[in-house]
Amino acid sequence: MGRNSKSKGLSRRQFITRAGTGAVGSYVLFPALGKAETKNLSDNDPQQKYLLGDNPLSLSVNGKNIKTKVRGNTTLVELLRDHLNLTGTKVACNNGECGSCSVLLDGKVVYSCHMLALDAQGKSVTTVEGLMDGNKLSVVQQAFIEKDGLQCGFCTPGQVMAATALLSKNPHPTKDEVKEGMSGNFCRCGAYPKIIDSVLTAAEKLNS
Amino acid sequence: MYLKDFNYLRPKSLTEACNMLQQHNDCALMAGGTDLLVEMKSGLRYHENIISLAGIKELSEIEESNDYITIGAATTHNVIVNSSLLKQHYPALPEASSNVGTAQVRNIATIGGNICTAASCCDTAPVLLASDCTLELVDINGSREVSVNDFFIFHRKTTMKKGEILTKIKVPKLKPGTGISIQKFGLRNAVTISVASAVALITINNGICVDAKIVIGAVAPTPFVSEAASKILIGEKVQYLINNYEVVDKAGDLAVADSNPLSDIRGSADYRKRLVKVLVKRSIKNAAIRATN
Repeated sequence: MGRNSKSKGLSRRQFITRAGTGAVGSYVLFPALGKAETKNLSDNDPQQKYLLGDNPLSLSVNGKNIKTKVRGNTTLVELLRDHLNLTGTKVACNNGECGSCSVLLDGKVVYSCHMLALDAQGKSVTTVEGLMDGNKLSVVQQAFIEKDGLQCGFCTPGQVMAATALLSKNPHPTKDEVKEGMSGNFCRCGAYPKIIDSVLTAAEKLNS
Repeated sequence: MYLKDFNYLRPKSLTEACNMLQQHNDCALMAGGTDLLVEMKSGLRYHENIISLAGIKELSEIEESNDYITIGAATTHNVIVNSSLLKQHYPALPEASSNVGTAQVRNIATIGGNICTAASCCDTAPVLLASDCTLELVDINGSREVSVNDFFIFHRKTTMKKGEILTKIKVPKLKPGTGISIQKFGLRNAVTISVASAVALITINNGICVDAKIVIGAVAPTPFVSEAASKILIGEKVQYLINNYEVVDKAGDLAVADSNPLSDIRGSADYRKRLVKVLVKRSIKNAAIRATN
């Protein structure tokens, strides 16, 4: 899906491939890479020209205003990954079931594979890249590292987004509320006990 | 699984949407799209034009009038779950909406979409059927109101005509002395489709049941009110209903007789019939308890 950005040096994608680390792992080693460059599409790039459509779209992604033109059938996750090179958001089922593509839309967690990019018109999208404060990981991200809330790490960006949304709505969740709130995110490694631990730890930290 | 390209239309008002429906031949309305996109991705259906209702504000408002709460059809389940108006006047609907999908789905999927998809296992329809809610349908020539009891024809078929848009759902405020209970049985606790469901609405006056509605879902082509099971409860003492007397058992049997379930991946027809009886009995008991409090 994603294509290499033409920015100087290594793109985030190239770097991760070479370093052979998972999503959170890369943050641990080089937190500076957490905030990937979002860029606007241009007609001059032949690869990008293929992606462009006729429907004007403006929205905010991780605080940056994006103006582009997309096709009607572009889903939000395709916009994020293919157009904007924000490959932190993952696609697994691409059918609105597994949760690995979870992002925040106006602060509410949604499946980005399961809605059209054009329906996000004028809204504000936050991806896992947008959670960091400069070089600093968010409390939820940090908690996932501390409590080892992952195994292969593929579902982790989605888990982190769902946990962030859950804690912003309910800062003092019980274990059952965490289970219910995270029920839209699958982990095929079965790291659920540690994911729940991570969310509860993040809640504790946010409240102290 | 990718979407085939289509023409995306985004009307800003209801009138514009009605005009678009009239102008374009092959088109579909999309509110949240959580059902439509899945079907389009898997190739089950395709439309040249998709009319998104995301830009029409008036479709996602919840308003209060004297006897009714009016819900815009494009109100998301999450908004319904958190609506203080509904929690106060018709708490069964937030409860039903909280049973839909996951947090991610509830933030996008709408109540209108849930009803118009008209799946037999629909989560919100049984609650609306229990108190005979009214639906407002608008087309280019004006609007008409239809009772939700007349709305569903068959699995995924409704009385909506071509060019019509579901705009409002009018829910009567719950009268004092009325209790509703929802019993949904799925194969797990969260993110599950009903194997069978039952909703009971019981109104009591001086310890006697004066009105009752038993709705069963996922055990026939549409969710529906079981008239026989509802009638038998009227005139009974509320204590009989709470303490599971014979009449509750009879109501369960009558609901089973009314049902016409299919065997599928989630359960056999025979299993569903047994479930219906249990769920109806539980819902009557809980609704009666709620009505007395």
